[in-house]
Amino acid sequence: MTMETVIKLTEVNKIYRTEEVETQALENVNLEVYKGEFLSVMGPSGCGKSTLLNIMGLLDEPTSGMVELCGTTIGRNLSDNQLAEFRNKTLGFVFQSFHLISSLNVIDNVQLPLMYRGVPYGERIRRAKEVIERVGLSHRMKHTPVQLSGGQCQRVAIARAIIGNPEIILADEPTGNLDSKMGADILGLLKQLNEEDGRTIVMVTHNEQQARQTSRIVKFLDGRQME
Amino acid sequence: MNFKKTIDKQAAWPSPHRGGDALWGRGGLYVRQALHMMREDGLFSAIYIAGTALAVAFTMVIVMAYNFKIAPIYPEVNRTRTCYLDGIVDVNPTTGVQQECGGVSQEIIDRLKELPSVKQVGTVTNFRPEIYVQRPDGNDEPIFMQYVDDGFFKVYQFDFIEGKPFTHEDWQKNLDKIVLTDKVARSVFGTTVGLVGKTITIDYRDYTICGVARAANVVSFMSYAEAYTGGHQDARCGYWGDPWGKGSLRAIILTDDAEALRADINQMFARLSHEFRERGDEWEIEPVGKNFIVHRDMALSTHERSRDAEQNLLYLVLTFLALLFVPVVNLSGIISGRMESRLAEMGVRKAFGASKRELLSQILAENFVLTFLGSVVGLLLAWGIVRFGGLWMLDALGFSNASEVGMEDFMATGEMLFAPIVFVATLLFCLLINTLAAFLPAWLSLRKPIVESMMEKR
Amino acid sequence: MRVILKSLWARRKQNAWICAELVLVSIVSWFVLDPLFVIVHDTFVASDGYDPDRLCILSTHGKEEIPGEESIRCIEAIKTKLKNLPEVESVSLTYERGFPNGDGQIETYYSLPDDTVHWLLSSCLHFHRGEDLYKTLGLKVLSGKPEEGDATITKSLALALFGRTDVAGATIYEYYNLPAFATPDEHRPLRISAVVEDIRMEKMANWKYGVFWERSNLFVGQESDLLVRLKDGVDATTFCAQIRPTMQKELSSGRLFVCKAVSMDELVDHHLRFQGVTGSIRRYVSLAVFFMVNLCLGTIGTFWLQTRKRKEEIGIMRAFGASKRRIMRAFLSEGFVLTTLCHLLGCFLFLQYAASYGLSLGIINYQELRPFLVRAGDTWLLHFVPHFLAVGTFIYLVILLTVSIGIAIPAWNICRGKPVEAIK
Repeated sequence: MTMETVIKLTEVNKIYRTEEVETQALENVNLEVYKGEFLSVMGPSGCGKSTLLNIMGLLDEPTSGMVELCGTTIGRNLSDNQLAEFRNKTLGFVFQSFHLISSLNVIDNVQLPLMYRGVPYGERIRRAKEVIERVGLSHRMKHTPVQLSGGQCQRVAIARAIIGNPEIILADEPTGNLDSKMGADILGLLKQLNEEDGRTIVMVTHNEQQARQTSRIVKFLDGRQME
Repeated sequence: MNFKKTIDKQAAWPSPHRGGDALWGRGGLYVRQALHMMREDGLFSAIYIAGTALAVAFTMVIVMAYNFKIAPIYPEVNRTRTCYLDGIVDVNPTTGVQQECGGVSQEIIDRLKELPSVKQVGTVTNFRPEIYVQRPDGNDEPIFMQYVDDGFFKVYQFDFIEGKPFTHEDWQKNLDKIVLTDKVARSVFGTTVGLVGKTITIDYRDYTICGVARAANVVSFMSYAEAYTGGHQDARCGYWGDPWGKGSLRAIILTDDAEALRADINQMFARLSHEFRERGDEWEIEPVGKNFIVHRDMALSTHERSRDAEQNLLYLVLTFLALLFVPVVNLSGIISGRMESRLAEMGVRKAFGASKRELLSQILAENFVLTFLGSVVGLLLAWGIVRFGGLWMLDALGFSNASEVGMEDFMATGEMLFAPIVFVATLLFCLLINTLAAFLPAWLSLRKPIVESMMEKR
Repeated sequence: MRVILKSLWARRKQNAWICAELVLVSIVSWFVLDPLFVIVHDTFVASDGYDPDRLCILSTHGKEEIPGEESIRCIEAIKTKLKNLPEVESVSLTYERGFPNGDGQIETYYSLPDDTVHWLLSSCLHFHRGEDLYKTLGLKVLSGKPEEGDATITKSLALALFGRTDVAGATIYEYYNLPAFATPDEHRPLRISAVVEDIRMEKMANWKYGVFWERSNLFVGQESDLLVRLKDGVDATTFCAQIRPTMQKELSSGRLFVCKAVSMDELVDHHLRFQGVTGSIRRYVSLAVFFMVNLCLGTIGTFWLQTRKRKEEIGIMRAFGASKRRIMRAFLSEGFVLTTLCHLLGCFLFLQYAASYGLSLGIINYQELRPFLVRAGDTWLLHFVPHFLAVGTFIYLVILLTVSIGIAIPAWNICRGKPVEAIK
């Protein structure tokens, strides 16, 4: 594992403001994620870990502070379309509730990132079949999400996350909605991706046991990094 | 399988570019997604399709109706070159008193024929008596007969099954020649051939049949009748005319330049007014106003509105806008509701790199599937209304002459129903509805930040 | 009610859009349904002033030119034949198509004697004296005796000229020209014999001024019209259809024969169609159907969606013991309150327009476009307040029904399922 920084957060703050309430979700966060590491972010509910992941994944912007991804400073200098392109090339997401598109089958869900990259149809399908095979769901390619179990849905989500060969995978409680066996399977798959091809993975989790299987743990409490 | 090798292969791909997909690939995905959503959310799809179908049906019925009125149709094949002069206004310049008449005299017709911009002139009297044909079996039957001159058959191109129209000489001499339509010929004689030279008694007057022609469609509202005869200066045919141009005749004029014709007619009226003054008359003829009208403007006017072409066109445009606006607002509401339930999906797509433009295109394309289905249903409904709507439909569309002759002469032929303009108009309307209804709700919902969109699902 | 209002206020953001939609629906419904309401009233509800049921018009025609005396004899003979038919109650000869929807009325000016300042335009029909046309037409005599005087006038004309209806014996002047320009010999006095109920000369006209002038020695031509009143239980249209095949032979005398038989309904139908009124009404109806279907679809769709979104709420209510009926009542009450408030606002906004431009008068008869025409005002629709209230209530009921369907069906479907399904 090299020490090249792929994600760097400097003095990042995130405040949610509504009409009545102001909530500081993140406070002065300074964090570096290195290439090839499998980082766990842990903490109790409401500590800001999902917010942290959203900011890393350019799904949300910080109230203040700086975000760097793969050497590029992300800020207001980038338009929505540029951000979308950056996410498409650099990032892959795995969500707790899978977020599969229920009206599309497995292969259509998986090929989505390549479609937005403009890859030709034939190539997309070929590649999708490869990654679906990789996650062990070749026999379910034409099924829709409602026809899959939770673990299978998450495998599809992982396949979707990696099809575009992103540098970084962000997983927000990927095993949160699964039983222990399925959760272990998913974690195993993520570890495989990290160890075999050196992908950087940042995973938010509640599960201490799973977190200990990763290369580094970062703990958060009330929006502040503990260690 | 060696995953790493697969990843290395990707480096050999051509440089990625946005929008480089084969249309059928992405398009097929959108269609499949649209069909899936249709099955999932049947109620809203049904409401959407019904709303679109209704708007398309009404609009296309109006398009077809105006097409009937304006497009060349047997025997009014020269509609684009046809104008009408169906009235005159005499004015006393001293007292300002006006006398308006809904017809002109034979003298005006004769002078019209001499004008340089006139290609052909035909006349019809305004007389509409209730007359009966005395059938060979002794029973009388009502008949709708028009009193015309020989020029009428040069302006309107009738198909003669046998014989030919009466000549100018026949007409001049008032020789009671008659052209029957095939409908009347069959009804009275049981045949359409072998009738030339035979006699038919109408209103206890004998007419000699000089020709049998294919009947006009009742939507050929200017030329339609069941029989045609000349009525040259015959009071029984309702003819009258005074020395100042007023009379019972309507002129149907073929011209290549309507504006030049209008100018020529005004010049003619000015010359006539001069002649009136020279002989000591107190009347002048006013320049033509609404009494001179081209066919298209005549077709656009209805009973309750004047012949103001601009006003009628404005009314037509407003009608279309109303037929478009109300369904668009409704459909927008439905799509807006649908977009709310797809927020999370949109958030995920954005997370994986979809741009706003791509998502908008996707929504418009998916929506187009529903709009297209609605348009097809609407077009079928429109055809059904026109084909089977009968007298109710014709009345509503402004063909009030239809009541005089009944429905058996209304034929919604293929050329009328399947005119290219109907398909073009349907497609344009379909695209308009789709874009207007879907664009704003989609745009507004896509403005939501990704995280907020995805939180909707939780 | 407090709970309902609280609930509505809690979701004020979503409800704001729904309210805007309902207000728009209310306003558009006014424009669409008001004319239709008036047209339906004019066609089906408003009194014609005479009895059009069992009334036919038979027209005579000569095989050739017939002298006047022969025409009179032949017509009398035909009248006798008609009176002898078992279905016929009475027959009257009319003059110059002088009957409702016959287009035989002329328009003349009437005023009180020697008053050339205040005058009214009225339609006038000429009747042959002794033909008992009042009875055949079914005109209701309010005062006086039609046979004792020159002319009978309608109630509205009597009220407009005299301020009362017991004016038999009074005199009015008839002018051939605008009274202001009339010379002394261009008017004549008419003694009023009776006052009759208002009559509609044309089906869609709300014009109620009429004068029926009974005259002797009017010309009787071979082209004449006979008004025939049939007995109770006889349908006029059927009667006309039955006599048509044989009338030229059987209802003839000498060189004169009955060439046409139409019922008053058929005549009205033809009249309206030829004037383009039928077409206009059908266009109104078509557009009204179009708009109302769209508005209803949209409203149902909106409320259906909103109710479905509150599936979880319904599930929780049921989990905590609310009955299905209670839930339905709560949701429908919210819809009722929303609809009422929005419709009131919609009516208020429409009122700004109506106060300036007036409410619909239905299909305007072309005759009514004369600027000096005075409207008779005894139709309740011509009064702003009752008209506004009646149509406003009708529209309110239509919208309420639509909203109720949009709420009730999805709410009931959700209530029918298990609470746990709703909460998921």
